[in-house]
Parts: sequence; structure tokens; C-alpha cells
Amino acid sequence: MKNLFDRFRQTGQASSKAPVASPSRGRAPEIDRAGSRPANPIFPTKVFREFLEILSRKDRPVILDLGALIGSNVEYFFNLGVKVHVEDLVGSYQNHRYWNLVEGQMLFDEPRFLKENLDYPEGTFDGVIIWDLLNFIDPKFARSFVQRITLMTKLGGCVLAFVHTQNPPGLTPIRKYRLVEDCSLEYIPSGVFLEFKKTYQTRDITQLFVDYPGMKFHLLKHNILEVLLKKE
Amino acid sequence: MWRTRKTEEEKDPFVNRKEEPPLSPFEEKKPMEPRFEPRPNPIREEVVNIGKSVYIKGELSGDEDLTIEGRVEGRIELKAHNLVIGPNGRINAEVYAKNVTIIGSVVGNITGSEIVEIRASGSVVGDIKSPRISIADGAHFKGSVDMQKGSEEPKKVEFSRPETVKPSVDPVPLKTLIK
Repeated sequence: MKNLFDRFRQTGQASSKAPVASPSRGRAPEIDRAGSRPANPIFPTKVFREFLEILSRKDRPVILDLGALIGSNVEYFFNLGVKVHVEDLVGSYQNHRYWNLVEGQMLFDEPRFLKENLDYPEGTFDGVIIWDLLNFIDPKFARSFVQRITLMTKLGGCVLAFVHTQNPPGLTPIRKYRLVEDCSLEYIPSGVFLEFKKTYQTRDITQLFVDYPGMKFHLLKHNILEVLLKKE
Repeated sequence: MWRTRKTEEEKDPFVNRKEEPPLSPFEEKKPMEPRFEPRPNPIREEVVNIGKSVYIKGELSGDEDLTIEGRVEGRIELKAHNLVIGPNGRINAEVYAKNVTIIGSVVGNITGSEIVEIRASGSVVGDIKSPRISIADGAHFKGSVDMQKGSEEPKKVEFSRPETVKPSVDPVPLKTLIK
């Protein structure tokens, strides 16, 4: 019986063509070796495998994809029979309708943002993926954001998050992460620059996600921390 | 006494001997193969186009492929046909079609019996149900994607599980061990 990782590996061995957002079932996009577009750095992930394992124990899993949208990632989960909800929060967070000018200061309208972008019933999702997002939102808002996610996640579900552990200088480009062969991620600059608000170390994550007793950390290259949180 | 001259053919009858066709009173002809040449069907080949300046409010249904460049509000139903929302198309409707291609924008749920494709310039706010989807990089999408029930059963998600050590012999029933 072939599992998901075998399929990842098989794709890797056979890949020599340019990547396509292939609608074929269960295939991760292939790494570009033909040079049809500029190559982006690709790094293997560790806890992503475990995230998939947790999903595999669910019947018809439902996940929420938060962050900059990568179509092939959505297709990948879809082709495995996973129901995927997509919220492009990077785009929404910049939307001017959530920012009000009050006494010369731009204030973020948290309740409206949460109502319009994260209005899901309690215990809807088996898994939530937070891509390059947490570092760019206000730390105060990050708390209510995480609380909302906790509410929406089922017991036994999990959250996979990617955070920067170091503060890059100046305006920071938001990254997109594309799933490629053999459980690796391709880092793609999205072209969107946002103000970097906070770095997250393991301790910060522990304090932020208080309702998740099971935590696993893995430091990827480029100072990116991969975090898996299990709601038990 | 007299030596008769023998030609080579006579010496070896099989040398340079041409195969002769069998004698038949009728000339043998290959059977005629049926040839199907596609005839241009002016009605079938046409794709109906709803122009930029057209605004439709209500229910739109039909039996041919359709490209929408204008605005539609309500419901679009082309169950066995293709629907293209062109770059200028602005749809605020529930959409049902065989193949749906979005280059413009759609607000509403989309059901495709074969494939729903969002191109790079396309935008969808709504839920998609289809056996296949394709979302290009750069496309805007807010909603959910789910395999359509009935048309194709989704594969059971198979992931690797932690390996368990299998006993080399049949496991002894627990009762026999407890005495």
C-alpha cells in the first residue's frame, strides 16, 4: 500500500519536467530542473510529515489554509480527498477597510476582521496551517487570532505554523511556501512587503498557544521555525 | 547426342520466378473502408458570448458552451457544457456547468461536473465542488474546495503510520498466558 510519502518520493524520482499545477491525484508539484523559471530555495520539512499523519487518522479530514495562497498546495490536499478551506489572510490583513484612522493613528479593526475572515463554527477543522503570517500581525492581535483558531480546531486536531526566529532588517517580503517533492518546501517571495512585528522563539510559541499540550519544533534553514501543535 | 540448351529457369524452376496472381474471373479489389469525415456543424462549433455591456439578472440556463464577459447575477446552469468567465466577466451567482474556467471574477458557489479551473487573473469567493480543480499561481480564492459527491469517490487518505512490530508467529491468546 503506497502512502503519501511514497508518492512524494516517486514524484521526485520521476521529475525532470517543469512544475505544473497538476490536477492529477495526490501528486506534489515537481521541482523545476528545466530552468523555466528562477529557482527558489527548497528545504525539507520535518514536522509536516507528522501533520499529515495526524490527518490520516481522520475520516474525511477538513483543513484550513491561512496565509498567502498557493494553488498547487490546495490542489495537493484536495487530490487526497481532504476538504480545504482557504483564507488569504495576508491579502485581507492589508485591506484598508480593517484599518481606521483614530486620532492620527491607524487602528486595526480586530472584531470585524475575525468576523469576516475567520467565522467558522467551533471544532470545524482537523488541521490548520498558518504559513508566513504570525510575525507580521500585531502581537496583541496574535493572541485573539490564536484563540479563534483554537476554538475552530477539533479536539485531537493540530496546527502547523511557520515563524521567523530572527528579525530581518527593514520591510520584509512575505514568503509563500510551495509543497514540493519528498515533503520539502519551496520558498517563494510573494512580492508583498509588510512590517515585521515580532520574532517568535519556542518560548513565545509556548506562551501563545497555551491550549496545546503537544508541541514539536523544528528549526528550518533561513531561521524559520516549523511548529506542530496538537490540541488534546 | 544432341545437347539441348537449357535455360537457367529450366535448371532451377524457382529462380527468378514471379508470383502470378491466382486466376480469377473477377478482379480482386479491396473492400471499401467506411470513411467518416467530420462535417462542420455551425451550430455546435459556436460558443455563445455574453458581451461586456450585457447585464443579466435571474436564471441563465442553456445547452451549449458559453463565454461570459458581462455581468450576471442569480444562477447559471449549463450542466453538460463548458462555461468560461472571461477577463471582463463579473458573476454574482450560483454556477453549475461541466467545465468552468474563471479568468474574471465570481462571487458564489461553483459546481463543476468535470473540472473547475481558476486562472492567474481569476478571482473566486465561494465554495467549489468538483472532481478536479486547478488554481493557478496569482489567482485569488476565498472559500472551500471539496470533491463532488457522487461523481468520483475521493481516495481514502493514506499516510504512513508508525510501524508496529509484527509477531513472527501467531499471537498467543491472552487467556492462555494468564493462568
